[in-house]
Order: sequence, then C-alpha cells, then structure tokens
Amino acid sequence: MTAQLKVLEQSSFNEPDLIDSAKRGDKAAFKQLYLQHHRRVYALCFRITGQVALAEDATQDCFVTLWQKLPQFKGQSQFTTWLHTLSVNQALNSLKKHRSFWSRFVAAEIDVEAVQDEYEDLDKILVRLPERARIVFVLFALEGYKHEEIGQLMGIAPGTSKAQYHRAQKLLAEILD
Amino acid sequence: MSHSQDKLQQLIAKAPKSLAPERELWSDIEKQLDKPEYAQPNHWRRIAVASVILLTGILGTAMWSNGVIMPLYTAQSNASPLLVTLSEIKQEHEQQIALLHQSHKVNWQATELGMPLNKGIEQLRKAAEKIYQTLTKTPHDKELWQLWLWTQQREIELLQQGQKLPTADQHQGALI
Repeated sequence: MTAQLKVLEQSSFNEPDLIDSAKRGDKAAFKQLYLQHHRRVYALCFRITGQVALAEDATQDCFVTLWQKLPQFKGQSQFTTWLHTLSVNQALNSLKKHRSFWSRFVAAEIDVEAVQDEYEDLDKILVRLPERARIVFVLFALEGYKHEEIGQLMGIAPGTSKAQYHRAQKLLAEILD
Repeated sequence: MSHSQDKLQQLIAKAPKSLAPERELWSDIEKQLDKPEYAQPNHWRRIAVASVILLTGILGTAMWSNGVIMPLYTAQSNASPLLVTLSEIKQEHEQQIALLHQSHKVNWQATELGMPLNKGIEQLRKAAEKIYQTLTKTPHDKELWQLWLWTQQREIELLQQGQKLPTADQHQGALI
C-alpha cells in the first residue's frame, strides 16, 4: 500500500516542474524524470543495439547526457520528443563506438537464445536481423521516422534506408514463415 | 498480403513501447552525474604519457644517429623506443589489474549477474592481446594505439563495475 501511494505521489509530479528543478541541479527531480522515461528509452536502445548489455550502457549514457544537456532544453518542443531524439542519437553512438572496436577483431555475438527467453514476439526476432536492417526497421516501422530522417541519422542515402527496410521486412517474413 | 506479412504487421502493432531493463540502472547513472562533461582523465593521461615517451624516443634516436649519444646498450635492449613504450604500458596496465583484483573481496565473477560482465572482460582481453601483437609488428599505427589504450581503460571500467555487483542473485524490474 505504501508503495502504491509512493507511485501515485510520483506520478502526480508535474513534468515541467521536474524539468525546471533538474535543470537547477535537483537530482531527486531528475530521478523522477528517469523513473518516468527510462523504460521507453531502454526499449529504444535495446531495439537499436540488439544487445541487452549495450542497451543498458546506452540507456545510462542517455540519462547522463540528458543531465548535462537539460539546461539546453528550452521547451520549444515536447520533452518526450526531445528525449527521444537524444536517445536515438545516443544508441546509434554507442553502437558505433562498440562496432568500431569489435568489428575489427571479434565477430558479432548475439545471444539469441537469451533474448528469446527474456523478450516477447517482435523483440525476439528483431535481434536476428543484420544491424543496419534492424535499425532502419525499428526507426521506420516502430518509431515512425521517415527514410529521409533515418538517412540523416545514420549517414546513409534515403534510398539505402528504403532498401534496408525492405530487406528487413523480407527477412522477418522468412523468419515468421 | 501473405500470411507472414500479416503476422508481422500484427507483431508491430502489439509491440510494447516500453521495456523494463533487466537490472537497476539508476545507481550507476547517479554516480556519473557529478562527473564533469567529457572527462576521460585516465585515457588522455595515458595518451599524453605515450606521446612524451614517443617524443623522447624519437629525440633519443635522432641524437644517437647524429653521434651525440654513444651506443651503450647491448643487443638485448636493441628495441625500438615504441616497442619499449608498448611493453611498459602493458606492464603498467597489468599491475593496475592486479591491484584491482587484490582490492576486491567479493567473487562477483561467480554470480549470475557477473557472468555477462566477466565474459565481456574475457573478450576484451583477447582483443587487447590481438591488438598488442599487431602493434608489436606495426608500432606506428596511431589508431591502433588509441584502440589498445581504450581496451585497457574499458577493462578497468568493467572490473570496477563488476566490483559493484551484488553477490546474490537480485533481479530488479519486471521482465517483459
């Protein structure tokens, strides 16, 4: 019951007030923002990176970056939209950092079995896609980005993004068959 | 539209917008909030040390070839200054790792939570060793140097993370 009250108390926080307090260095307010948004950010990071450990690192980096950049948030856009863009960029950066190191020496290892145990339906099969196809698919089909926007984020042509999306669709259909 | 494409559309429609992380992430975030932005002191300190040693090596070689310094060393020490630096940094890193192992009293590697981290450290070490071997053959590859120093830094960070893990199995957050 106490826990329920606590949750109710937390949910009654006004987000703009929390953002203002966090901007002034209030860590308790920032924790509330974390509690409200971390699951959404983690989902995005997990789907983009395709790996639990990397998604956890990326989620942590997202919130550290958010803390540092929060004073730059002027409220012109919705906070969730701003955080979403920040999270996508952070997840892509984490993946890039990881890839530039591992791809030289170690073949990518994804524990598909572990992911299949822990996650449901679409997330079980997304991790089986090649990296670029997966990212494009997640951003286009799940997050509603346009191919032009994906192209800019990933540094590829919109046509390449479309091709990767169709490739992902085809591979997923094959997996589901 | 084929059956599999129908099924895919259904999966997309019912995919949850949120997922719960398998472990608690806030405590690590909180620790990093007070750190200055972009601070990577150890990494840059190592690069600075490597640069100073490299510069000393180049100057020393130049002076020796001009006859300023008499060749005193034997065939055994007849190694490139870069290789000497490489070996010194490796030794320093190994000492740091040994110190870390001595300082922690908890066998986190044996816990369920510690296993993925331990696996990551193992892979990191293997990769670092491969980079080291490559560097001994091509010691002038700056990018490889940075990569090697990065692997060492990351190994230390992972070991430090491992030491913060609980010994008992404590899953937090619901699984989706």
